[in-house]
Amino acid sequence: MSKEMLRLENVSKEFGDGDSTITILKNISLSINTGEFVAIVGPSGSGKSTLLSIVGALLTPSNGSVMIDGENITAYKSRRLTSVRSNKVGFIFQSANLIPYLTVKDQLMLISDITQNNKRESLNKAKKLLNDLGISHRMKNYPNKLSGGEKQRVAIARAFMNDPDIVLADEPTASLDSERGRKVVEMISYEVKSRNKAAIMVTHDERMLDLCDRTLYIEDGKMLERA
Amino acid sequence: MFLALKEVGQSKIRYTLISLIMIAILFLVFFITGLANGLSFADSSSLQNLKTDYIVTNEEADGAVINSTLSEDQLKTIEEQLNQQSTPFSLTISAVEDKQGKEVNVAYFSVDTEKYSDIEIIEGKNISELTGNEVIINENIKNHGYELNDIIVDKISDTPMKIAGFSKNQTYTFLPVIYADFDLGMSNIYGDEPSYNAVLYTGEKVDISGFDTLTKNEAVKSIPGYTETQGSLMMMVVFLFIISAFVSTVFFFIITIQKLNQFGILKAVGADTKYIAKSIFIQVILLTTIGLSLSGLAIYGITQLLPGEMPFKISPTLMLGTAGLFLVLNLLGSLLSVYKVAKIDALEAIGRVE
Repeated sequence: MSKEMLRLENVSKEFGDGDSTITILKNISLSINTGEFVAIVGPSGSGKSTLLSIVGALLTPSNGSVMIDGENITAYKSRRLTSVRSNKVGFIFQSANLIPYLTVKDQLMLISDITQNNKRESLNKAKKLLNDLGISHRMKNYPNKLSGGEKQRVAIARAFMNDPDIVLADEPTASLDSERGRKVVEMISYEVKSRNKAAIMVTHDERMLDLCDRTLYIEDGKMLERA
Repeated sequence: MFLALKEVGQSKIRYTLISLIMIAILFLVFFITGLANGLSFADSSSLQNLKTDYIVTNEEADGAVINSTLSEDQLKTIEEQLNQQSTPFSLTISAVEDKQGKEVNVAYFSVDTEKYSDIEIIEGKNISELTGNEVIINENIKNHGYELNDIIVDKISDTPMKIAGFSKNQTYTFLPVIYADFDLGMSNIYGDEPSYNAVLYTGEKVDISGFDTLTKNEAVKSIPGYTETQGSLMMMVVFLFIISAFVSTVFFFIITIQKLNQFGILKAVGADTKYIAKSIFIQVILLTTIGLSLSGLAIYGITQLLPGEMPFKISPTLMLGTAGLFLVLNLLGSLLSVYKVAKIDALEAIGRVE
């Protein structure tokens, strides 16, 4: 019962640089279904992060169209993009990027405060997520007391907190050793499958690719797909 | 609300320090405001409480009632031109002896007790009831041991006077005011002829050529030294306001700059500028309110300790007004931080922009 969650059609992105323009992405089309975990790999400067930013409603493409769950967000202005991010997208950043003065529980409750969801429901959801990720004993700790892996797990829980349509991970293993990194990716994969979400992970680490359903290679802004 | 309170709770030292600065500055603001108000009051309360709408003085006095002299002829000229009832007014500075034989300076307000309206009395008779050598003295003479019906003697003319009543808020340049009838002769203790300073009248303003007509406020401002004192104190208060607004603005601005990355993350996970701005405003309001209430308490405490003669006077209205203005200034200052927040791009959270 998988359906198409994300669709990019002929997406290009150009940045003006003085008189010349630099083309970062050229005619990228892709489609991701629910329950699918897709990896994007490529050398640095190839446009991976830009692509992720466009999918995550942080940037708008210069050309082409972006559809999330059938909703065309291509022409949205920043206010509507913000609401897309808070309702449809879950982010996992390179370093966990937690808010230093919030406890683990409050990191998750912050999301429900932003989206103004019911407090009690959100608290139950937060507890369940933390339990699933094996960090419920860390609930009342501040980020500076957590190990790198624990932080990244909190970040994963945070990404799922708003019940997103798509989950985007920007090199989630960059700050972890390979063993912990693999565990984190396994967890993302497990959460994506069990909740039937669509997910994209940008990574350098080729050893993680076997955990993903598909791998997209991007080089000089062009995309190649290998099974 | 969520974000603002959690952060303040977590960075206690930082926010305690800024609160302490605010409390100190606000204490000073309240204190100087109270002092300015108290000084103004001690200087001029008797003129502010004169039972009149207009005060006619000669032209040379430049509005200072004490520097104005009117002859009997001039008095007549003025009274002829006024349709309404008027009363001559004389202001003389003299001294009395207190119970220990120490000299106490006083200001005599000589009026026509049959024409002059009654004033606010806390004890004894009012002006219209005065007979013979009875006078009304401002209550602060009680500090020198005087009570109702005591006899008090003027040092220059040796005139004995009976204290028939105590008035309230009647001081002139810090001196207690003694209201007396012209018949008592206090207007001519420095000469043989009675001297008049002004004519008081109520009702429509009448322009009389050759004389100045002042409102009570104008007369207050023309008290020698009044404007200068109030001006300097006002300047201090204004500067304190500016300093405190700057301190709070800079504090929040620097904290905001430190947190740009965090705000980027917040924006990436779906918080808009409004959400973050709300959190900054809540923090500003919280800290300012804490500062205001604690310094308010401190001011209340200090007023209990201050000696009674200290010209310090602060009313709840004045405090609330000052507090409100302070809060508004701080909120205006925090707009700078909000502007900075509005400029943050959620892309910063991605770590790098290719």
